[in-house]
Amino acid sequence: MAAVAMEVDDAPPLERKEARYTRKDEDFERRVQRYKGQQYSHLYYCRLHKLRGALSSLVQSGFPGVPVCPILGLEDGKRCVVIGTIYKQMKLKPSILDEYAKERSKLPLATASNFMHPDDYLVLEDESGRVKLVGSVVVPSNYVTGIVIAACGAAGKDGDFFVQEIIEPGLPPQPPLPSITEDKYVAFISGLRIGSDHCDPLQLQLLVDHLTGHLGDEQEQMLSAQVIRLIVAGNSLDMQYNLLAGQAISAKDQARLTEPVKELDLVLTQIAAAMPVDIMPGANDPANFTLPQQSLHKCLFPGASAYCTFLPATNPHRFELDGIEFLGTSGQNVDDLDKYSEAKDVLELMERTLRWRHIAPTAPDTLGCYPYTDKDPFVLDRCPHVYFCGNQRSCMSRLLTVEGKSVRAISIPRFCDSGTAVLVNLRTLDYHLLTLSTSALLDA
Amino acid sequence: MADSSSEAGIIEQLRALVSDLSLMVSYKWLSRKFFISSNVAKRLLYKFVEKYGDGLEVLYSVSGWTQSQPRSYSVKVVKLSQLEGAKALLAEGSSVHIYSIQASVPRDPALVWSPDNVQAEEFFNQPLDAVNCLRDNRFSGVSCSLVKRDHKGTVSSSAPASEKASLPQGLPPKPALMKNETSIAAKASNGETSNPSGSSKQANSTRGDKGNVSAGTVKQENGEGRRDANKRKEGSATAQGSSIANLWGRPSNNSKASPPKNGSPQKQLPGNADACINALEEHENGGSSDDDISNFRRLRRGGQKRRVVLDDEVSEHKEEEAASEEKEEEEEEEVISLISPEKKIEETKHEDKASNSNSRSGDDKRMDPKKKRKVLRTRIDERGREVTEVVWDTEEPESSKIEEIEKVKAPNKTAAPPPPPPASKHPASKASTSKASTKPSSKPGKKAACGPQQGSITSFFKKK
Repeated sequence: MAAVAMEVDDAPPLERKEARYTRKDEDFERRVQRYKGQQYSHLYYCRLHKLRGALSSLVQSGFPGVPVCPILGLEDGKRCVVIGTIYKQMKLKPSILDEYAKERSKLPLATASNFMHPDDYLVLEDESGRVKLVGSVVVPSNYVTGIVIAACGAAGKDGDFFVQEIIEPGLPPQPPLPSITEDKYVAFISGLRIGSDHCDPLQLQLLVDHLTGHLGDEQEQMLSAQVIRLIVAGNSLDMQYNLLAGQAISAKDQARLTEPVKELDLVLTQIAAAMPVDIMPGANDPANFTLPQQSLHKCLFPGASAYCTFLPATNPHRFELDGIEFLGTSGQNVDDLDKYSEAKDVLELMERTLRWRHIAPTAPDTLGCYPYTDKDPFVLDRCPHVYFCGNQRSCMSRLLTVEGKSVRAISIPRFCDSGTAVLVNLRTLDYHLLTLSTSALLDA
Repeated sequence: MADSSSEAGIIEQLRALVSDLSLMVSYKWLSRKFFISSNVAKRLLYKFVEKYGDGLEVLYSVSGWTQSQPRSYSVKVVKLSQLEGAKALLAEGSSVHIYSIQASVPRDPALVWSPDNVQAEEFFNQPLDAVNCLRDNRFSGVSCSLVKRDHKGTVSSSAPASEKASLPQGLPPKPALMKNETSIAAKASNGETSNPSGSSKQANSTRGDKGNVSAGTVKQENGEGRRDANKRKEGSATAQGSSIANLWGRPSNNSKASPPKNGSPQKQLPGNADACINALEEHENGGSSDDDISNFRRLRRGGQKRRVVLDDEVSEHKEEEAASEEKEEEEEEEVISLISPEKKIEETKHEDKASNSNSRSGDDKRMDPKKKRKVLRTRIDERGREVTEVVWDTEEPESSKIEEIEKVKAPNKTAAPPPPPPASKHPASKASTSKASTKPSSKPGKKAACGPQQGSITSFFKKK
């Protein structure tokens, strides 16, 4: 068959819009860190030190004249402010020691989804000591271990600190929102889970075709041309880790193990050939376990890594597009918060992390984290304009306006379950969904 | 018009494919098969269905804004029967086009996807330097000028034949380096011209990328060069007389030159990459002094040249005081120090020679049958120990540092400059002892202080 290259298009292809991209992952990359056997006290110290600075100024303005005391220097009945890290004593929190206890407790060892209990209480700890926080203001279900707060109140005779008010660090300073004249969209997807049984390859192919400009008529392709970047927020792979049993892997198993990666590479090649794409590792991806997860290695993607538009990113991922700051994770931080505290929805948890100025406060207590000695990379210095979180059950988004700062918080749904991607408009910080469906095929 | 006739031709072929072979033809499959853009493929499918659509089932793609909140753009693949229903759910201005045609629609979406995937995998598995419609997205409706593909940065297991041919063997290093760069630049321009959506801006930035890539690798090379000094020498030895140009030029060349050392292609590359890296780094270091380059060249060109150098060593050594064995042992290093004025290189050369001679002793033995032979000689040194050494069989009873086996038979007696006693047999300590032996004057004092101990262990620690 003669292959004839025909240029019968009525119009030349549309030009995809572009935006200035700056990657800001330096804090999350672990380049020069060397593990020398250190423990986590340095991390907590750095966190306390940094957030204490923010809290001090708030305390001075909010409670003028009230002294800030170290915990060991508390005097009975004297009104003062203490600043420290919260530790939440939880009855149901799984402890590794329980597994080795001679007497198994009545409580089952099975993992529950939420470990809250009415008997949980909060303890505030600073460099000198700890003190239990009591008072009606203190609602333990709203707090988790690892956050730094200031508590104003007085020490009681029994050694507890009766809290009148809790002060959180609040949202960090936010750079001004630049004005953008034309509509440009950033697309977010997460939870592709290529390789799992219930991942629909046709659905993913529809997404790729839509984003790369194959699908649809000219109007639809104009929409695709406005999408300037795709962010894949974790859990792109569902590899069969049970094959890695420690024995030699047979050739057949090897093929089964690597097939999802090749499939993902093919998908990413198609996307990278058309637009810039960032891929973040997730909880189930072949990356390290502790946060911050390092970027997926480019040897996994021989096809896609040839493109300059392909960017493996860390988790959490921070970047700037045309002056708009984005920050987000693949969902591990929020999922962990969900286990140890209570909130209306995912967005409220995300809002709390912004108020606490810390993306993952439960690290390293219940969330794996690298023992940094010189910094805590999860402390927020600047408030992002768009704050996203991947691998959630459904897509929700709110424009949080707090203290004059506005943040578009988005939870990105799992694509394998929902077939939905989220697009954020850079001009308005508005969002809309992109749903792809092949369910009609299953109907009669 | 030519277009419509070729369109008709395609439609006819399509008819054959679908009816005779019962293939499932999607618009994307069609576009990649017949090299037409996706939009044209959709139109063709529409015409086809109008003409020959009887008996075929058609899948449509319906996309548009939904009327529900939150605002959502929906893309659905539906059958003909569901088409109207799907359109009704969407707001005005929804778009419909044919997704695929087939004899019968399968229930499993993966089966609809699979022919496209097979075709895509074929394109994907082509050699990395081939540019095809999958890799440059040429048939889509949207083009992006940011996209640049640089396959050189990726690890490829099969080096293209053209690269090998472009770099002839035996060239002196500098012209070879320049040739290398021009070949890379030529390839960059080839890559660009074959990309239909290339623009001048793209061309410049690709070259910029190449420059960045090479700058990046050069920086990396500098860091690694020191540590991999040994590997460099090994690479040179096993290259069997090939010049530095080959070390640089292509990893595949090295792989051919050193088959016994390297197994799979994947393993080859790191070692040879290191050789290339070190060759480049060495070139940069040696660029300051021509002596060094000539020395490297001499030392590199296999055993033959090396023998020449050693001959010089021998003759030069005669001129020096030849009293102690220590001097004899350090002979090789001293001579090298005479040849290469820079001390840093001298020290690395110590290590090179030390460890290389360890690894290459067999080769050397084979390579110089006429000039020198290695023989085992046992003698008693000044400190009363029986030392079995492997020495070059020449007029000068030089001793190399290779495989010195010491047996401490008697305690240390004299304070005369003893030979650096490599108490352990580690090459590392040999290297360090060789370094230490370049300063013979300081040695006697230290040795005297050591005194009548069982010299071996403490001196081992001291030498560190």
